[in-house]
Amino acid sequence: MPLTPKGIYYPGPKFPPQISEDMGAMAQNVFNGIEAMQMQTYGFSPETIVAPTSYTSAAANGNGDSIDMNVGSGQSPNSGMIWFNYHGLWKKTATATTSAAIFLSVNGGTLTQLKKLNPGGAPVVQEVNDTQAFFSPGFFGQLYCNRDGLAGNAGGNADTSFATNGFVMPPGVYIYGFDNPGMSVHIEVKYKTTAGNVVLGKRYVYLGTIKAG
Amino acid sequence: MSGTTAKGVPILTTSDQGLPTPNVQSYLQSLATALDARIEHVGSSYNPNPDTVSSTSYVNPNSSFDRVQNIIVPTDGLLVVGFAGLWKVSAASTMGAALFIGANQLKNVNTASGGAPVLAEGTNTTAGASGYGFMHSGRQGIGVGAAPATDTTLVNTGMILYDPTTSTDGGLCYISVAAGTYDVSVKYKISTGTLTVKERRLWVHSVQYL
Repeated sequence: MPLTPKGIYYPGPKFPPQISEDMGAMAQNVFNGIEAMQMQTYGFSPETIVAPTSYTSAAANGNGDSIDMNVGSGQSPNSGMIWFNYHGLWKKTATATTSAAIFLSVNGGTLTQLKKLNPGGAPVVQEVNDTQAFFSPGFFGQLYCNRDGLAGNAGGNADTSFATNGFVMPPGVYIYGFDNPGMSVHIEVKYKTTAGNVVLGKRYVYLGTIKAG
Repeated sequence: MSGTTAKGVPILTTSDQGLPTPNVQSYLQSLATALDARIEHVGSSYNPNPDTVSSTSYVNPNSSFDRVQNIIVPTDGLLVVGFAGLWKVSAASTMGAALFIGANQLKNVNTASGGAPVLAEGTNTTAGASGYGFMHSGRQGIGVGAAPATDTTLVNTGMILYDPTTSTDGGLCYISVAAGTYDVSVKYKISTGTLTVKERRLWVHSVQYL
């Protein structure tokens, strides 16, 4: 049987044409009214990105710390909105400025770094640049997602860790400007450092659609 | 019709093979009714073009935009609103932007001095004409950002709903209302001169808790 983009069944050609059309329209209406959410967990074993002096994907899963999803919504142009969230552990292995940023690709297009508002000018790239002191041999800090994008630190003098049940989630970021149903989005967090390596611990990555007409 | 899902949505099983057409129609109606009770009710509005306001009280500058009508909120549900846009003023003035539920301006709890809730609004006082600044929704309603000397611009796809110069956290505004059907709008005002708003996006949906 055919499916809507979010997996709602509707009758195929074996049904009388009118029933197929009516059920197809019904499934599309249901699709237009529901939100979708995906979550990925990475890093059950720590992963090292060796000397990433420019933004580099995590490699262990073959596709970076990413989620792919159809996110569009509604009838109004550019009316779709997504909610992205990230909560992870990362550390540096040398004295360095260590960075992370969100990258976005729409409909298979170029993967570009997410931008933030720049009052009085054009938007500028959003990223977190951690300059916290390095304590040998390096300890895990927290990387998380606020309303304005990624924040956190890759330094410190003791390991940060997560609880396994009932852990407070960061607020996440709302990103808008996505078109009608079916717009495909690839969203990913990449990492870099001016010296040494970036070591990644457990990472939780979330992406959801906000449905609005 | 012989079954329901774990959440009460009616389903057909193999025992329903050969169901007469009227029964199929009846089933589809019951399925639509069951799904209708569980999906969110949504609406949105987008106007890239500028509109102007010169009123000292809150008004809608263009009845075709900045509003989403007939949003159904179920019993014990929540109304959820997102908003983004650009604003600029022609002269020294105080401007405001606020969310309205029907004819009523949204209110915030009054914990600063205690007592009854107070009107929620985002405002900015400028010493002269300004370039375009940003305004957006957040947990407290609408926040109005800085009035820069030059125009702020946006990217069309992939813009963060946040402004570092507002006191309002970015994101969506969750609003407690009684069950019913609501019109949600954003209105603007200015103390003197002209307020221009453009690239406004308004998202509204309701959430049901079962």
